[in-house]
Amino acid sequence: MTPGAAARSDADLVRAHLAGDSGAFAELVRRHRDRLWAVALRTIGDREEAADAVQDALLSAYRGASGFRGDSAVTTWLHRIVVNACLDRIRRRQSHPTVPLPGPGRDDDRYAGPEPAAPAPDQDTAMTVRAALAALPIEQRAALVLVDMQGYPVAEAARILGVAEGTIKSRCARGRARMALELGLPRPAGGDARHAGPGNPAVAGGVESESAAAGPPPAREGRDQR
Amino acid sequence: MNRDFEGVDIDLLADYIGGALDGTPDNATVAGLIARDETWRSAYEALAQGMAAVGTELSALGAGPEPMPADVSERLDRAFRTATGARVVAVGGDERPARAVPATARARRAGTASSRARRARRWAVPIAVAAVALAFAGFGVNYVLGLGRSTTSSTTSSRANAPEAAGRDTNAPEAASGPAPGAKAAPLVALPPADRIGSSGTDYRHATLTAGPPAIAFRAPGTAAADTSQVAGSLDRLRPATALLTCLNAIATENGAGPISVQSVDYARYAGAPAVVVRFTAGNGSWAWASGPDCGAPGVGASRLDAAKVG
Repeated sequence: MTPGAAARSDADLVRAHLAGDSGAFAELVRRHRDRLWAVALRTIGDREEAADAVQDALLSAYRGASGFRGDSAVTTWLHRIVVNACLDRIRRRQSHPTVPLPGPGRDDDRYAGPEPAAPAPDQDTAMTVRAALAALPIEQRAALVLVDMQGYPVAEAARILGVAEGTIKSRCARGRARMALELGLPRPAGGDARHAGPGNPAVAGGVESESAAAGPPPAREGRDQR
Repeated sequence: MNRDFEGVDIDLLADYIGGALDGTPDNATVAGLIARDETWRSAYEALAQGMAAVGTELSALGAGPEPMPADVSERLDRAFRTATGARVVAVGGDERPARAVPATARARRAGTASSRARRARRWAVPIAVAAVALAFAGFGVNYVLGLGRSTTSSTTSSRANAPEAAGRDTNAPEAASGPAPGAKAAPLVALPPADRIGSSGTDYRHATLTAGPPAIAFRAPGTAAADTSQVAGSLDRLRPATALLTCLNAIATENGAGPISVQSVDYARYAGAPAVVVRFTAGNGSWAWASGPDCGAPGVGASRLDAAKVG
């Protein structure tokens, strides 16, 4: 670490990097790498792709730091570059089947299908929820990763993704609704009144219809406010 | 559609529940439907509960730690070390102190004001890239002029000897640091024949990037037809061979799969904006990249507008 780096703000480190401090940018990345990694991994859903995306993004940020105008927080800027790198990669592989998100603590982060032995209920549920998340359109997935999983405020997620706050709200809401349908959660009165939550393993196979999530867009499409 | 939600616009209802309709006329409309219509009310109650449950589950998943794995972290550190030129990971994988390419680049500016010296440090990496491009300028110019075929074999040979993963892990060590003393660098780029560098006049989109080179003949850069096109002025910076080579090196670096063999360079447009469209093959397949006029400029990288895998 560069002496005194811990006392410097993120913006100071960017300025130091631009002034030729060879360790400043690496220090900046060290501060935020875990959060950036979590966002990348949860968005892209594949360990190697996430690693490539993070490296590409951060090297791009390294080279393009002079373009950082300081009109957003440094962390917002870094997140934006990482998320965009992930979305670019996902778009490139759109013709391939989606790989469900990895689980924390798994040695092999790739989804490996059903466990050979009955998994613990919470693990089973987590895998089901990740799979439902991975099946979402990427814009909805990215918004849910930032807001629901990473805990960023809607306004910050909007800055990261470069869209209006209303767009983030809509993407999150529609994403949650699709996931709820996929997981068989909403059961209006007259249906199954148990309202089983995703924590209930019974819902894992309870998808009534995929068409609800994958059907044609409704007439009211277009809540996005770029 | 879930049978229980027939007749209900689920996205609209989700927007309402998620607050995306706040302040819009639709908010009152949906509220009215929920108040009057049993189907909407039942759907609202169920969906709100389901969405809340999903939010809770995602929050729980997100609460788990997800530290960057050590190997990824080390790879990043290595990439930054390489990028700064402080150390270089050789093609063969062994590490050694970097050659003084950045210092050499700075030395060319010695004697100027101190602020210029500071800028030189700031642009140490881009200058290193440019230095490599200049080192191959004769190679590049010859190719642009269609005179340098004799260099092809040595270039190909160098690329053939480079490990496939070198580009990915070191992020173009040649470009970042230059060759080791006494060693011959493996260039990241082999330029196409001169008749594959030109201006087609095409305004590309993502779909057309993948469609292969335009059928219309290239016009050689510098011809009247090319220079009177709307894009000519915007892309003038990339006309000199050295600037084009630097741009192509930047593309190779960002592509991250080692040396690229360029099939064509088209001074064109992408989605209406001036762009140089580069078709190449590399260790990760055949690609068409659209890069902006700043491609290869200091601190910019490849200025990528789009990239499409071909075939």
